[in-house]
Amino acid sequence: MASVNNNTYAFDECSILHLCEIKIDNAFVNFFSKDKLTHRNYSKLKSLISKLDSKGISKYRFEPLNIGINIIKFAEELLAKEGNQVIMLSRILKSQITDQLEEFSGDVMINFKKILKNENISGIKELFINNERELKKSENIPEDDDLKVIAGYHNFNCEGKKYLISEDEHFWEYDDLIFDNFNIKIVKEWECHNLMI
Amino acid sequence: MILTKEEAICLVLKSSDKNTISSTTKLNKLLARLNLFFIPIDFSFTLNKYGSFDAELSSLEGNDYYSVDPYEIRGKEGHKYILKPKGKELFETNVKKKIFKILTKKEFDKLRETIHYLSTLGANQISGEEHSKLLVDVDDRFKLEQKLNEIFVELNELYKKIDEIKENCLEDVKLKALIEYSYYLIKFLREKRFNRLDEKSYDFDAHMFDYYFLHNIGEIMPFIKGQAAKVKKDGIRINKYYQYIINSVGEDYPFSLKNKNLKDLVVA
Repeated sequence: MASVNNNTYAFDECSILHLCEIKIDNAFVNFFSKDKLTHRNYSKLKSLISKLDSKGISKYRFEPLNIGINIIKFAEELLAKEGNQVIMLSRILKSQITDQLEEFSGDVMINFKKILKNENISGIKELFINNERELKKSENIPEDDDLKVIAGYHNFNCEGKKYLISEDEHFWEYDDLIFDNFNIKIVKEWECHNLMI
Repeated sequence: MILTKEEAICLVLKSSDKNTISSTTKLNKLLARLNLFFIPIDFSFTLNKYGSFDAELSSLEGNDYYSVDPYEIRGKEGHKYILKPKGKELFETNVKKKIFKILTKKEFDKLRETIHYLSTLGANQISGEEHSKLLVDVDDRFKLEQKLNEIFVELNELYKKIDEIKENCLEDVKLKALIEYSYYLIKFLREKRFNRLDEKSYDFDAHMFDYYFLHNIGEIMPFIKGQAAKVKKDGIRINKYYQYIINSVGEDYPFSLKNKNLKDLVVA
């Protein structure tokens, strides 16, 4: 008899956005030599999502803080990586991308159950300050909203293991600290397809 | 956001007197009028001597949403369009859902009142009103040229300062895109489409979107200028104008994101 999977799989806001396949308007296709843009971890995330869906396991997310800013940041990342050849209407292209991400975000959210964030983070913040690490891309100490995610997930009731899928350096550079103190296993987004479900 | 052909026809029929339209010409005019309310619809209008015209409407057949009933008038065959119960349902569900993404209830009521009023007029009266609003008549060429130049100068000024708008939210991104697109679209109209305004005959090759865009961008200029200076933007109205100006035309209109060769028309 197959064992029941009691684990919880939560995705941070940006990882959910990375599941979006962005269609490029005909006018810009020649600049990209393709008609769709995706995040580099898109297929890995899709693979994990399809494994969870096929086994009827719920997917979780957190209440977004500022989805607009994350959408703009993601669009800028995509364009910095792949849009260097675009020589016209660059603001339109960016807006067409953010428009699709906004619509995707609204549609996909209903497929993810919500975990409440916890506003009480003073103790957690102190833990990170006392264990500060040198990060490569971000500020050394996680932002308050990251800490609210950890605090909320820690309080969340779950019989099995708790996984948090994220590309955010604030989570994976502190993965051992987060696991030891909050029992949350951080899964690097680019390794998420290896998760055994 | 774009209304399908069926949705657009149901919107017009539901707003018309007795949910009925008495001729194909009138249906043409009323559908075309949706453009002046910034409602993107899946119809493409060209210019004929009566104004906006879409040949596809002449061969429209009845379906679950509306009937097309033939009748004879002065020895000629005419067609009457009547909304069916399923068409009312389509209006209440799909049409309203889409419309309320771009119009407030007050604007929607105003649109329906206008369509209702126009539906009580003859097709010629509706055409006359459209001609004068859009400056389609040959006699209005001077006014058209003047309007084109004024809008271009205003947009040119705004476009030069576009990077002063900080991108703090999605509305900022959209407003900048709207300014950029409007600038290049008006430049295209000025340099490629309305470059023979001294000729004294109707340009029957003209696409009505040339006129709709010029008119509509002129209408929204005060709003765009105001928003560029504001920290808190009016997201619903920016989206309404954005969807119409940028996403309402297909491949049959050259200045369109659907056109693979748009690059050749974006004049530096």
